[in-house]
Amino acid sequence: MNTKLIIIGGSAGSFLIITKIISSLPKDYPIPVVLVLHRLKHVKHGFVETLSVRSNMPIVEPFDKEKIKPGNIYLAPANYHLYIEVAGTFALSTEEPVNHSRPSIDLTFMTGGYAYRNKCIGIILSGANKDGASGLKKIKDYGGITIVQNPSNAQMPTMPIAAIERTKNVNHILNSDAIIKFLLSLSKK
Amino acid sequence: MNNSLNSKIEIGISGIRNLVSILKESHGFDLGCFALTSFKRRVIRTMQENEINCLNVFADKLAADKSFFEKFLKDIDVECTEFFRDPPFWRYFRDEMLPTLDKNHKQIKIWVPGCSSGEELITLAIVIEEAGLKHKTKITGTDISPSIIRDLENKVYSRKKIEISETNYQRFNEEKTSLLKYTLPGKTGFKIVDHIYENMIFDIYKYQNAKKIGEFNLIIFRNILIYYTQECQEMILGLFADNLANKGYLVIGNMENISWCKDFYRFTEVNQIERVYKKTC
Repeated sequence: MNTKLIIIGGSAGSFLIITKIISSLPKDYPIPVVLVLHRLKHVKHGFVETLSVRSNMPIVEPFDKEKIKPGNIYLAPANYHLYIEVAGTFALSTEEPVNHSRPSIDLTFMTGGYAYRNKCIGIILSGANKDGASGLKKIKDYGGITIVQNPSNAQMPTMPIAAIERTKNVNHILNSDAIIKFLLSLSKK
Repeated sequence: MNNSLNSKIEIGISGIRNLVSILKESHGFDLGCFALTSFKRRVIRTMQENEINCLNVFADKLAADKSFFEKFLKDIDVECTEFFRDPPFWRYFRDEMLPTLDKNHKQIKIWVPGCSSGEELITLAIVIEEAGLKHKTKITGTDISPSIIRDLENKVYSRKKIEISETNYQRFNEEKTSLLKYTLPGKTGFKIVDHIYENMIFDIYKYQNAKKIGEFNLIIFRNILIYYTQECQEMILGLFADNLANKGYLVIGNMENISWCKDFYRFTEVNQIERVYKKTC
């Protein structure tokens, strides 16, 4: 398997592990990374800057129809759903929130899983709701790899537990350090 | 909504293409301009609501039944989920754009294409009324769906939508007055008071083979380009350039991009953050 897309979903309690991940990935990391994080809809500015300080790669909030390219970490913009199109581009949507969330982790996982099939990796991190569980199952159904942060290692275990239960046989349940090790191992293959 | 996440209906690209061509043949309506993923999602949702699991059955029913097709057009139109979405934009509009429009024009002509369920139209009308410029403003709202246009003035908005919008409105209007003064509570939700609709006209407008319908001083088209393919986005931008008066404004959504379109040279950027452009040739 040759991974072409990594999608990471996080909510409450995921900020520390997110910053740990992005600061560990090298500048020339060969796979595009998409972050779908639950964030305040009225705070549009500042978050990218906060993450950028800790990242070796540029953090980009993608515009509608932007091409997905390696060398970037993409952050789902506030108050939009982020879809991944079969053409390898992003598409944005203002359709109603799903499970009270916009961006919805589920929708990015589902569309990314559909578009990238066995070349997609989905990762669920800490969170206090169940967003991402249905989406992670879809990634699995489409042949992708599913990873969940170990609930005992997560500040808020609800989201990891929901994802594990719904997907049934996730590929890996890992602590934060092991997630980073796994991601780094992909660039060596 | 949530059950669409766990839908058993799977539609591929060829299925969508087939549906589009059947509808083009039967109703002369080209839906091939919609961006694939969001269109597919809305098709699946409409199928679920009608308890139809097979795309062929659904396509046949749409082709044969005109009123079913009209309802479908309404269902696939994406509703804006709030009034006063992006309060900073509306503040910029009130403080910078409206005074300029007022100074330069005897009558301010505004077009809101794809007005859908009316949230942007009504927000616009409220800002204009509060600025005391209603008497010299004419707003044209258009949409591809005839039934949306028919129902607009009697539209009832949910309590939830009004609540979300109230937060936006208070961010827009530092005086902390309530949006409720523009609403009439009813059994199922809220209607908007009649006088907000006074300077509006509504019409059906399709982008394909479209004619020029006016010389507008402002076109507001926020977060609608995202539902169209790039090919269609480019065509729409050309149409807007043709329908804007010289120095007329175009506003698009925060995360939409038109800089790659062939007609982009006809515009100059006015505000990068709020995505405001001015037609210059």
